[in-house]
Amino acid sequence: MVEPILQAAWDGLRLVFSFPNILYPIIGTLLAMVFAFIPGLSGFTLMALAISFTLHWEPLPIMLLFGAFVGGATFMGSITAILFNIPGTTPSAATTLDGYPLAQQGEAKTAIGCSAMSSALGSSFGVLVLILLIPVMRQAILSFGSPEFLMLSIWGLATIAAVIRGSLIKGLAAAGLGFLLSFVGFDPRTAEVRYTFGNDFLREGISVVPILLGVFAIAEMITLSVTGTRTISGSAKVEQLTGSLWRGVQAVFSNFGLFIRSSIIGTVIGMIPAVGGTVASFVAYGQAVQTAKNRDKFGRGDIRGVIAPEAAHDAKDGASLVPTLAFGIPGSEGTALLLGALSLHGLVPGKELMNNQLSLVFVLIWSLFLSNWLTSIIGVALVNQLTRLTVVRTQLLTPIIFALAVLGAYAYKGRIEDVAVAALFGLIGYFMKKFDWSRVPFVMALVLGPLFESNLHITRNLHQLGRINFWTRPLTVALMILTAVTLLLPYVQGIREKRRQRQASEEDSS
Amino acid sequence: MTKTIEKALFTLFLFAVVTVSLFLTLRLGQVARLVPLAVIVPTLALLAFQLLLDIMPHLRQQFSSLENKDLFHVRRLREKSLHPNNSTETTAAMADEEQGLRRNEMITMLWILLLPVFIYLFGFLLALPWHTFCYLRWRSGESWLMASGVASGVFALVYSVFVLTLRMALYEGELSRWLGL
Repeated sequence: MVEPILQAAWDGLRLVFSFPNILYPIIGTLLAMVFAFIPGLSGFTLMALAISFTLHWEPLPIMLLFGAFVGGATFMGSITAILFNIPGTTPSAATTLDGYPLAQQGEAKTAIGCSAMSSALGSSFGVLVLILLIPVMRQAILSFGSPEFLMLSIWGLATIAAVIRGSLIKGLAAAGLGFLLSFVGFDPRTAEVRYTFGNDFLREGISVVPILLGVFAIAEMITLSVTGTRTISGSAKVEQLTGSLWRGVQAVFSNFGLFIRSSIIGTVIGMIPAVGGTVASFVAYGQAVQTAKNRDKFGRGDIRGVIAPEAAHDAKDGASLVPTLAFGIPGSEGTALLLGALSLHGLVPGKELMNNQLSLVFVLIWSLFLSNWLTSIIGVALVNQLTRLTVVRTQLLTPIIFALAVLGAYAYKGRIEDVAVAALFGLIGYFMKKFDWSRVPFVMALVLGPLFESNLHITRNLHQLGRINFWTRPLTVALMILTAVTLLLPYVQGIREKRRQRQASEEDSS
Repeated sequence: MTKTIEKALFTLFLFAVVTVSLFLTLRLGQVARLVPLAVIVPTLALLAFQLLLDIMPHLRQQFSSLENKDLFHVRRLREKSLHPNNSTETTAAMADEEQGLRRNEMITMLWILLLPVFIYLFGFLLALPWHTFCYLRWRSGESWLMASGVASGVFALVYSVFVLTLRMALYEGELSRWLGL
């Protein structure tokens, strides 16, 4: 059983490191780094734009490029967190707590070196766990039938709605809207036309690509345009950096226990859909403080406060691919976009991908691995040059991204109506962002919609024919219970929180 | 218009969309309506509840655990590190900023809606550089030189990548076709 996996791993490695394939992860990493550094742009904007421009590509370069996109942007946010006290990405917020004070004490290079090494090693840890879990994932998928996949997609959506920051109700409703949108067009069983208003354009259904471009690329540009130019710092000139890169690298090895603990935290959290890097880095930071013998320096420039969040944040990248590749449940905006790209190329996560196209899975994994190391190495080597990107006037970029987004929407099927769809969903995406409606469950339900519908029909038919009993399948029941528990969790936490507050106020008054 | 009303209006818009879908679904056959109904009914219930939360502050407070959940207790630390110096902002300054944002929002939306109209009338090759130029000159206040430079860059990019390299038949535009451009 292990031999085909090792063979696929070797094939994947050879494919990634052969010429000209190696150029894809290198270019992908550089693009991701630039997008991560320019204020207002992000890895998601890049991925949304790239989906439409790579539609006619073969699956191999898609895996190479998107693997690099997933891993390429992670470390960049930490550089601005350390140098300017402004996290380039939200998970890097935890790094500001000790990274910035270190920079102020003249140890910027030490903090950046430490952050780069923790990131690279942390991501390698996550990738290693992902590879070790592949045999388990292949076995687990075999025990899943239509009812289990149906329940799994419901549980995945419930988890995302429950775990993401903000409202549970909005999260669930956004998922419902995503599903609803995926139903537009022909009914797969009866060929009846649904929600088209007699419009020929809608008969084929609304394409995912213009919606992704609208919700991620155009919505981000609208935000940028509305809020004005958001440069990292008015005085974002980097002075001569002081400190020692080597000392930063050494710090990771002299605190190896902390690094391993943080990587484990990142890996476990990464596997839970939607929990994401922010939670991983803050939980890891918290455990670093709690387990330290001397806690006085935390928050005032302790190198351990850089190691923990960086390791956890990067370890989660590889781990987040576990639910995405095995069950088609994306864990974040990045993996939701990755899933969208894969499904548009006919790569269906689950049995098909994990059994018949395992070498492609390894291409994605090695590309992610390579991009994580490349980001750290290039990031450290070009820190001065990269920080100049933070003062790029984003108002100049906004119309260019608009142009690329509408062109991408049109390029997908050559229909002018898709341009209007992208613009419309750009506005809807902007308001979703403004009013705290998470876009992850919306996009995830949109992508999962057709699969959800077919699994629901198959399950219902099999149940009616007496071929299966939905209620006596242990995995289905377990997933149902898990869904109920997940949905109740925020409510229970709220009750406990209120009780704690009441107790505290009673103690204060007594 | 306060943010609360804006929030409620957005929820109302989504509620209206789903309500229309419900009526359309009820016209479908037994099999075709099955899955959409299973999604629409709970979604509509959730949106109705959200609408109530948006317009009734005391209800929002009662269900605050669902509105502002923070399962991993990360929010406080995160906000502290993201906004370390925001205590100096005055209420008046914030109100001014809010008003400015709303005006910016309306203008930006207009620009976004103009883009598909431009493309429909003039086609991609003319509309994209033209929109870029107008946006940079009149929305961003860039100089004539900068605006025309970036617009020319957009034209060069679109023409070289999409027309010459990818050989894509870009939409020509109704007005361009009519004028024979």
